[in-house]
Amino acid sequence: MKKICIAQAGRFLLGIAEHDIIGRMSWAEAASLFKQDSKIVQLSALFAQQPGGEPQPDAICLEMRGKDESFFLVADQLIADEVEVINPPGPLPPVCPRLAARLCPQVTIWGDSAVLLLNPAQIIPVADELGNGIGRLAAAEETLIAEQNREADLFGYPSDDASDLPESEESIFSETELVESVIDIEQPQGVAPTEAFFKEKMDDEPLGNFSESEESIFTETELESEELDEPVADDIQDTSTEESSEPTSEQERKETVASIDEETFKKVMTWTIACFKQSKTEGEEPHLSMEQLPPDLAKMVQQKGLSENIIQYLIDQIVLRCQESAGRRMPGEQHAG
Amino acid sequence: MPDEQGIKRAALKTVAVRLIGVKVLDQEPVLLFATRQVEEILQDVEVRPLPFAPDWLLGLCAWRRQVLPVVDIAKLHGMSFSADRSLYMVIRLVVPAEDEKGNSSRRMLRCILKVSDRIAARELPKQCAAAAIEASGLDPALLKGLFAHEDGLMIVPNLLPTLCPPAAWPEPAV
Repeated sequence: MKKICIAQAGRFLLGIAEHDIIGRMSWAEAASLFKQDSKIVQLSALFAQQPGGEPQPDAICLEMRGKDESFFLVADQLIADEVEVINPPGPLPPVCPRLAARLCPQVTIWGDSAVLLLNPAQIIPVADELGNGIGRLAAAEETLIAEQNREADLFGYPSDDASDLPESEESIFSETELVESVIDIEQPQGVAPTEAFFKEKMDDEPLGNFSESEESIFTETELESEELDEPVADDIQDTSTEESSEPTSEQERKETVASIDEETFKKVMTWTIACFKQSKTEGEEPHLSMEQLPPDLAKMVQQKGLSENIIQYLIDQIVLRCQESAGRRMPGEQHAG
Repeated sequence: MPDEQGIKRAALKTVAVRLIGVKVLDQEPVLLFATRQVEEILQDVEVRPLPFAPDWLLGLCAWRRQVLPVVDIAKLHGMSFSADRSLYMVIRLVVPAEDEKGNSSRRMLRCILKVSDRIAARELPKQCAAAAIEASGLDPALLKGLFAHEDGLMIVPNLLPTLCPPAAWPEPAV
């Protein structure tokens, strides 16, 4: 007998065949696992023909089998699991809209409710057909916006400034604000700031749209030959800064630099902020280290050959920034740079 | 009463639903259904919405182990009634179909109509005149008849094109 799980998406009650589901997790867990190109569909938004919005923290994320690759479905909640379909499913009544019949060709009864049986194979094609971002969630952007919003709630900064802007402008503003604030602290002291450079870049391209060749926001040098007690900020410099400050060593450095790509940067930032908030809730001072990174993230860092020192420095700087924002910075505490 | 051929016929029983607060041709419309079409009248139903549905298609409902579409009949006709509460009528229609061997047959289609609570059983009014459908502003395809009567404008709805759109009808045998 066919087993389904029953999920609620908006006001829609959906049955999803268990054998189509690879895995399930909460939205909070899943958000950090998405890749940049992950296909994520928010069912309530798709069915309401609206662009995806921020899922509730208790939303459920299902990894589904796709034709070529897996994709993710986000539902508001899981109502029941491992439900055996007793009533034989029947076709949707002919009055039903064509698109509804494509997404849910069959319907069954569970308790006293009609349950639409989802055809996962049609989710992505229908979302593509509808276009305009309907039903789609962008993995990294969405995570970042969510984190920014939570951070703004926690620390009471700057989304108020953007409250009068239309929604789309507000999102871009918020992203820029957040990234700039982190970039700002990456500037080594005494070196000409490159904020203008980044601001210009942000104005041109929303976050997440950098091409591969333009991703070198931060560069790292090999630290093995350098003293570890040196301010690591010296090793995290924008190349445009180096041009003006140390033109003679530029060639040497260019040969050894490796970049922290944007995906890693965002994931580390997301994780660090989450840990910071967690420790704040528990009333503890955060002591975050590279070793505490989630296994998948640590693996990613390792695979990309990124220096542990650089990642640790990034973590420290984000924590510091969070502390500053929270007004928790102790008197006399020095900026790590 | 004997008709013109002198045959005595029983008056057709109907279920009349008055749409309060609506005016068509300056009269309050009354929807007429044959009694045999109406299987049940429900006070409340659990309607589950359908994606991409027009506003008159409220969703699906489980009724006696069947899944039926729920239609707001007033909205279907471009009207909206004002009533203290709504009731739900289970309606059945007989539509043409084909059996497995391709022979023409008939099948039963059911739906649930959301209607006002002003429902009455009555005999088919005899003294009424056909009204001009074009002048009513209603979609002729959704009507079987429109009749002016002293009690109101009698509308006999045609649900077939809605519940079983032409694309879903069986292909004619070649």
